[in-house]
Amino acid sequence: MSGAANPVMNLDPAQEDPAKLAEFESRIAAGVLIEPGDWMPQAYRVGMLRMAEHHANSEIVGALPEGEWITRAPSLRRKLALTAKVQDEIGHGQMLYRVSQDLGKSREDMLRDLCTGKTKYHNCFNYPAPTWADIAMIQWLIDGAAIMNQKTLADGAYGPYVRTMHRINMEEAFHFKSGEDMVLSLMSGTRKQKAMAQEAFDRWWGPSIMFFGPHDKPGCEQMAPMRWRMKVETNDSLRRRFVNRFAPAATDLGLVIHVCEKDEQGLVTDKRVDELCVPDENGNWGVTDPNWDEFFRVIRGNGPCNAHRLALRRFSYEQGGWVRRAIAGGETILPPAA
Amino acid sequence: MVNGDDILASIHETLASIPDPELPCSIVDLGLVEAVTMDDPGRVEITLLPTFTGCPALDMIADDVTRKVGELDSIESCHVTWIFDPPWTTDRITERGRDSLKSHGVTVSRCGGAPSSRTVTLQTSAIPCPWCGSDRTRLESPFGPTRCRSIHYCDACQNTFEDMKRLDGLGKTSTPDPG
Repeated sequence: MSGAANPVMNLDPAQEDPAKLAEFESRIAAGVLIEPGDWMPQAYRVGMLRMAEHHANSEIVGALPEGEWITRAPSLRRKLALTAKVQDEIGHGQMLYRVSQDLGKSREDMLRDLCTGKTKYHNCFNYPAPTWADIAMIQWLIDGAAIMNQKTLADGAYGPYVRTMHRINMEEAFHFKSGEDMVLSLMSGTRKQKAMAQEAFDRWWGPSIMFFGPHDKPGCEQMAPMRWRMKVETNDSLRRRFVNRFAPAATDLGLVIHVCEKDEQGLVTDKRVDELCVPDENGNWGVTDPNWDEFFRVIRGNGPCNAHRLALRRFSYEQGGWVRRAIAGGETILPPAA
Repeated sequence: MVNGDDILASIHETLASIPDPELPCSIVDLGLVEAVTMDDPGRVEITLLPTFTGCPALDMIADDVTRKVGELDSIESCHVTWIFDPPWTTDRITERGRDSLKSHGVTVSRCGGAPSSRTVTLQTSAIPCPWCGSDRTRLESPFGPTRCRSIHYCDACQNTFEDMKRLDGLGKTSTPDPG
């Protein structure tokens, strides 16, 4: 197992062997997949590791709010689908941790760093899911956003990540269809159910718009992440496609797109109709820019649910400690939270 | 008047175009279609077998079948029934289905079957890697992303793949004749 981190952390591509770097870049430009045993710049290895680890963390933490709703699912059919989805996300996490391991970080370190808050997961999972309709919105909007992003990542350059992404995407597409069905059920239900769906939509629309990350820096297409096809499409381009797909779909379902003010618990305190969210003459929908201060505050650990999610992850990690000790033999002690 | 055999053929063709929602494999190649019957002209009954009874995709598959077969000319109604006997087994997956799953990184292991001769050949129980063909593979997790699959890892090419969990026929299929 290639668990040891490379001692030389030379992250400046200019310090790499120019001939090897040129060959690496020409392979990527030619659409050849990079395999674990191939030479790669250290910045690529570290960047791919961070990306795959963040993705794996997001799969695991994303299953937490859903797992809490299994016992409360409104029908057996929905309960069955939700348990399957949770197993699905955890399976994706397993495969992505394996991709990350081969890029140079042990699984133990990754699980520990997640629990201590050293590494991050997708910011949207730091928001609350107080009703069943939130579960529907996560499965429709967040999984919808994830598919849009991951379809581009499946066109990336790192072989093991790309192959895993192809399998994951088919399953995410299935979740998305179920999510759509859940939202449709609520929106064709009673007045109370429609109101519940609208309130959940108000909570999740903002995090969905922020899902693709902050605005791109000028010239990002020429920078390493895109030149090396770690990223294939810019944040703003993905966000535009998302809004063009989901703003009309939400409107057709009878949902109203609001700009919302939220309290510290992530609950909506004030809202107004997003007047910018209308199509222009080319059919492109506008959207009010989200509150990026909130985005960075939540990423830094001060969101509504950061502490709750991490505590649950940590609890589950500690509960499973005896199994790891029984199998691996050694003591696995978790350091105090950062 | 359209010939009954022609209608059945077009139904089969339609079924072969319906993919499993989570795999690049048709429900026919996956071995889900047990019977197609049309006692009254235009009224078709389709009997399907679930892979796992807890599979969350069954409703979606039944809806797809009802809708797509129902759209065919000369079909008045299409009714889908899920049955559990005979039980579905991985042996029901066709060669074409296996090839398509393999290129997606999903293997289908063979059941042992009956020994063909008195010679015993020792062989590895490792599942050959669908990416590079190496036998240097191991189980990564018995719980894969879906109920019907486990996760495996290839030490040679350092890729993960998934294996359809082997389910034998509970003595109902592929059992050698005791005589």
